[in-house]
Amino acid sequence: MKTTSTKWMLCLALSASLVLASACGKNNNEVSPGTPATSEATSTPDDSAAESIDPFAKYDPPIEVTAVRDLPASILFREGENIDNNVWSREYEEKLGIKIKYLWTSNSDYSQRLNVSITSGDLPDIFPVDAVQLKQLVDAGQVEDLTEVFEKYVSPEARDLILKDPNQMKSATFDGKLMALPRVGSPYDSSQVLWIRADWLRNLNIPEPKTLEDVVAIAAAFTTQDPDQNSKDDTYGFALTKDLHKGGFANIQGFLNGFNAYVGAWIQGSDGKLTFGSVQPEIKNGLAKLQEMYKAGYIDEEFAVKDGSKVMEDLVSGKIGLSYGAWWNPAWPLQTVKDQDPTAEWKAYGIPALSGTTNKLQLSFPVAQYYVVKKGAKNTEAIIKLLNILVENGYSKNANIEKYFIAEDGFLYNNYPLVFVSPADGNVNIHLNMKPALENKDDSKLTGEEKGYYEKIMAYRAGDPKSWTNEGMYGLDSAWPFVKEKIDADLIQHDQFFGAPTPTMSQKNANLDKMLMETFTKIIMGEVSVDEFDKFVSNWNKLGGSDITNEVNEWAAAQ
Amino acid sequence: MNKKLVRQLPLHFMLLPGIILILIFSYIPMVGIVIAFQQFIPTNGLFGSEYIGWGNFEYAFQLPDLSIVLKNTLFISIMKIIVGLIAALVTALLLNEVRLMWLKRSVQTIVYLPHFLSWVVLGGILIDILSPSSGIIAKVFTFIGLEPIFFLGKNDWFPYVIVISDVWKEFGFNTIVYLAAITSVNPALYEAAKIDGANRWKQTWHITLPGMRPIIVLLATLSLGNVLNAGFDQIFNLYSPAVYKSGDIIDTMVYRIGLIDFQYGLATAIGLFKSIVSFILISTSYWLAYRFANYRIF
Repeated sequence: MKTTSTKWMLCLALSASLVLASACGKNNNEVSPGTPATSEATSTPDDSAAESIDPFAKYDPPIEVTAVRDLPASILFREGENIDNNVWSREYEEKLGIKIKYLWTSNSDYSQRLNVSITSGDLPDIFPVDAVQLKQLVDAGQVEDLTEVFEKYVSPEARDLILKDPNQMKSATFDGKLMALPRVGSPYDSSQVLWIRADWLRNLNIPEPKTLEDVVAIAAAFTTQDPDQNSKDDTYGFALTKDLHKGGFANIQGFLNGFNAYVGAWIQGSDGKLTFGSVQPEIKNGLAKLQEMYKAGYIDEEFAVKDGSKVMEDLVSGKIGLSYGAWWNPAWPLQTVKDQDPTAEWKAYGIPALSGTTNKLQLSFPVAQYYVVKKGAKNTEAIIKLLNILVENGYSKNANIEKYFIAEDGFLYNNYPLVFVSPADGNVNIHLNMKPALENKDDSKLTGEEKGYYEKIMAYRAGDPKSWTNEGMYGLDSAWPFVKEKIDADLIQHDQFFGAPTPTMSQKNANLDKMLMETFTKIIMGEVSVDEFDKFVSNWNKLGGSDITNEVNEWAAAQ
Repeated sequence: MNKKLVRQLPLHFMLLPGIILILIFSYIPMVGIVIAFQQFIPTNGLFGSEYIGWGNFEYAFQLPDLSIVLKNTLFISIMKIIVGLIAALVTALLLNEVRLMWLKRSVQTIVYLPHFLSWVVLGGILIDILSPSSGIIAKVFTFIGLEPIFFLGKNDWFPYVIVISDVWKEFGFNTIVYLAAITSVNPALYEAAKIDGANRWKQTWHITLPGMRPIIVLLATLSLGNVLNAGFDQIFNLYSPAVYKSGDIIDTMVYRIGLIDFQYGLATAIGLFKSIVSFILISTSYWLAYRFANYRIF
């Protein structure tokens, strides 16, 4: 009996300790992110009483604001620094008396993680959300109305910047109340143009493309006439990934723009109502041409299984000389090509249209992110102050780009601030300022940021191929001259729908999108005739598309 | 009786930590099933969203793709089970006949190795190997005068590529289980057979295989529970819109609906449906395992 009871005790102790250990293990994991949520900012300087408000007034004593955010995987910090200690966090603390405490950060699954936080009600004071989440949070009354604090605390410069394009601000306004700060930006930054290796054109003695027919002819020549002159049949004419019209390069959007087709955008139909660009007959013409090009071998036979990084391999190994892609392609991936082969000379050629037609440049709605304040958070106005100081340090006349955005050695600080916005015509303007400077070799009229790019361009022209990026992004061969031309001629196709997804959209989009990708891919690969497009359109309408169209038009009518 | 209970009580207590962990990590999360019956909106919390009864299920079953997706799932996973079983069994039997210990050991290890690679890595490698223009398989095809095949882009080939690559990656694991089963066969039987004049083939057929039968039946029936898992990681890394028709499975569909389009209610409903079917299959296979292999847990 004695031995039994000893064994008994031992086992009990053992199992108890195991439970305890596992319980502790769980606690340890959850305590760290859990505690700050309960211990919120402790001090509340009450400056609402003050009559004239200084938009940069410092909190004294300092306050602590909790936040979560997504960090791009590419973000870099100076030695010994991190997201809690860098030039911007110090600026927030020293100038504003705001200490930001990140409960967590994430680089790829931000949306999913945030949804978990939203579901469990474990929200920080300030956090970025997407349009769907914003609508849900507003409907559930979980975010603060910012109308009043915005009016009261915003600095004049920040107000100008954020209200420049009224639609962007409107997308964060519900029933006349401002429920979030939109991460405003430039619609032109979504410009997609044609990039071609000009050195290959010269090798083959082909003039620069003016029309879409020229583009197809160039694709043919690049496939069959050995443009890289290595006597090997190892090039193809037209870069394409399995994501078709999604993704930043090797994309068909610009090509389809040449047919006056605007894939994925809501556009005004002939009856004045909004219709979906992806189901218009012009798309069919574009797909027919792509099918022809695939059959003729101008498009990689295997594009349907290659994602961006796979196509990138072909690009870097010099197999591709023609690709439709974003204006920033020189930074990625074209600079990599240049690094491998300094003779590669990429140039932008706009979006050539079918001969005898004019087309528009398709742009997407620039706001993809909104900054919200949790309902019941103290110091609601802190978010406005974060905006003020961003604009002050980055875009005002007192801006100090080298200190806050891009260091002189090219190190990037501009993804450190929690609240970030950019001007509605930023990058176009940089080019427009750069143009006379480059032509007259005079950088005296440039801003600090522009001077940085100017010097890089000069370094490239002096023979450093590694500095080509800025020449390609802002120089004379960049995408902007063509974009500017379209802006001046008022040939811009904005996405006309910029609300949160409609109910049918969020319910049926997965299926409709699958159908679209499948049909387009098969048509291009020639597995089905191009007439399959008509069947797709009628199915699209039947399986929710016409409901979505109605909802989008109701939304438009309510604007 | 009472004495027996007292004696065994400590052993039961040792179960406690396991039971508590299972409660925390497997049973409590099941509360999330309510999402399947809601028009779930994250901001409303787990119980705050509008209940719509069977709405999500009704919508899921009238999705035009569901029948294709179910068919793909069943075809791919059943093929995987059958081919995987045969491959592992044959390898185990062959390895068992190998006399050279070092050869046997190294083959065993080598076939087991791919099991540790992730599909993200293997997916990239497979796309290169199977490429019709530059892949090594295409080169072999051209060399012997055949037209290269676009394995990952053709609906006729895609499911088979999936099955074969998965079997290649995983069969080493089952091989080891079978090898273990073989070692448990009583050596006296072989000696007796030899004396009776049975050759190697006869010995395999009449002694090794019957000796392994319980394990074979057991593994085969238990894998029935996995019939609706056609392998998300693998297909997700290899498929493309061109092969949605033959390669889209339940899990990839749930992924697109739930994580791309944030339709949590619908995705949970489909996931729950899958779990219930799996549960039925596991119960059946457990019964079958008992019936044919006399295997039981309780």
